[in-house]
Amino acid sequence: MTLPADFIVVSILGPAIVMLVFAMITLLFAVFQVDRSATASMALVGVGTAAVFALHLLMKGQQGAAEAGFGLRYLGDTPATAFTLVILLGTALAILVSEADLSRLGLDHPEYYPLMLLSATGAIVLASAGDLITLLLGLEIMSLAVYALAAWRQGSRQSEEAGMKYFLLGAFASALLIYGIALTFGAGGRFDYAGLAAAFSAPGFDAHVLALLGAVLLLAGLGFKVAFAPFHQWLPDVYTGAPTPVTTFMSVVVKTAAFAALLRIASTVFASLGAGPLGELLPIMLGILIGATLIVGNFGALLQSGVKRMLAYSAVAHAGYLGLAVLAADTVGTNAAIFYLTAYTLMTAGAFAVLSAITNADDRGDEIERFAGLAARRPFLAASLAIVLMSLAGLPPFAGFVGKLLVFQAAISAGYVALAVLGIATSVVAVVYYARVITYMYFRESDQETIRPLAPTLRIAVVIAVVGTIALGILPGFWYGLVERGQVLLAGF
Amino acid sequence: MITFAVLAVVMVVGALGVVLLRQPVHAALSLVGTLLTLAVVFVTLQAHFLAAIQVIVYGGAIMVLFLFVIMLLNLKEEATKTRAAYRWVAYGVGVIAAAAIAVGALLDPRQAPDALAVSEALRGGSPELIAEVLFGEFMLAFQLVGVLLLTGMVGAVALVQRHNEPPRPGTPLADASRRDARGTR
Repeated sequence: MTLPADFIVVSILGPAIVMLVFAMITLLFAVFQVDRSATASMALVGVGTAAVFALHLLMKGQQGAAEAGFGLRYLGDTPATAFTLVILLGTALAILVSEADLSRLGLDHPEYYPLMLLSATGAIVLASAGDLITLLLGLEIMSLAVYALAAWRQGSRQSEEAGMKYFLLGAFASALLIYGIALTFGAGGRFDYAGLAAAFSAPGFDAHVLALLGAVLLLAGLGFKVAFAPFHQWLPDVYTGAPTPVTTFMSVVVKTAAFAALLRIASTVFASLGAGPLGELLPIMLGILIGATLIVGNFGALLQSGVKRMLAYSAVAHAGYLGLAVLAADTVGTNAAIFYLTAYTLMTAGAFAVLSAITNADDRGDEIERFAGLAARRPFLAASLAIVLMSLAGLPPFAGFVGKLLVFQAAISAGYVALAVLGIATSVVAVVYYARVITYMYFRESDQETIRPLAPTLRIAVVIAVVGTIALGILPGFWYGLVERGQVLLAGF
Repeated sequence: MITFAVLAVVMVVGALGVVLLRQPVHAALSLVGTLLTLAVVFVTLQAHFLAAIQVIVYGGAIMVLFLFVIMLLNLKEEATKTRAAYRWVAYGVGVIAAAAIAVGALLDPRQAPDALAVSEALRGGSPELIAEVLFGEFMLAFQLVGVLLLTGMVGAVALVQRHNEPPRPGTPLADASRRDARGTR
């Protein structure tokens, strides 16, 4: 068997290879016991270099010269590179928060940054995957590193519980995913999305039940990672138990990568199944999951007294809004999700960055009472948190509003009006729990001790998040236009 | 056909032994028997490479791990605390599932491919075919598995080695959290 001449395309691997190389460099730094902040700077340089490669690929997509390699197993088109850039943005913000927080928390062990970069490498592979094997490997690389990071604070029950719970449920989710891959392969005889979509929509195709079973298991396996209810049970405990810098990383990078993979599968494999005799079942199942996620996430967040746990439930709720874009399963939905995830990365990382400036030395103390009177003591932190929370709630003129608008638009134009209405209704609930924190900060007297000075890197992270949130809200067309004009390989089955 | 029948009986007896024997070590050894018999079945199907891998990976590496765990945990006898009702439900589900698979296989209308065609496709069971796929079509996946193993290794070292690392000076909280660690255990 001979491979085609253009089988190996190294250029599309650029961002992933750069991240891997810098993971190795930081690992060597650990061996030679180089100073931690130098390691963090090196990690940031790596993220920046990878972003340059990704931007180059994005520009190629603008000119309609997007590439794919390895027989469509790894893609360098606009959605893949845009998601890569979002992942890199999230990683950079998480590194900034980590650099400010780790030594204070006594957690700056040398393997931290290498693991974070390796995890981001896996996330990039996951977002660029064009076949089920690459998808699985990217998911596992990303997850294995995050399992270790979630249990980073040894000796703390909650952190160890978080790591263990995430690992066991993650292994269970992987098992479901692998079973789904096996059944899908059994039905279609291929691993790559393009081949599967072609096989499923071929005229003589008769293994509809097998293909549907495989698709449902794929959906369940990825549903764990993106935290669709009822697969969200691990999330509040893991987000609360893990150290705050790790939670920042998990909530933005893991979610972005998992949604990138899910969107790609939905617009190719699932869409090609839709024409078959059992095709309408899959959107119905996905719709039920999304409806449950919207309700559970928003009402769960309403009941929390800890802000970190509230943000964890809000992450579930946002998975529901993003699910509307998955349901649309077309290019419009994918573009909406890219914009939403960019906004979500900025807002969530900003919220967790402020949170990590307020919590105690042992990373506890996120009760809402601690935020009382924050506006008087720390006007910068309070204003920043207020802005990102209003954006998370979906209020104009911030990025979250535009994101929600695009997602609802995609769902309505794909014909899912009822779910979009449910999304709008639950958004109103969301305003209540975000506004509660803002009320505490601005309209309550405080008897709290003054909190410590803000670390410079944390300040940078907060400024990036806030400026990005406002800029994307006022000028959404810049980023959305780039994404919209880009070239999409592998769609429209 | 007679060879296969003999091997099948040995395999089923071995599998039953895994489930029914009380001593974990005996059960593990019974599993070795089943795995080795399966390797012989692969040989009769001309899949020599698969047979070798079966012996080396399953019969060798994985079984050694199993035995290590059993010895380390020092399990004397199977813990019989599961409730009888649950056990009967489990037996029932197992029997129904096995019967369903057997009926499904027997009722399958497709004919088994000709033995000659199979050995032609397998090219004498040499590893060449697997190498062509692994280093050709799936070379990216092959490289990614390397990254995956590295990630697992770094993560495991990071979590396990921590206990031996002295608290670094300059981080007073490291001492505090360590004290806290001892307290909570």
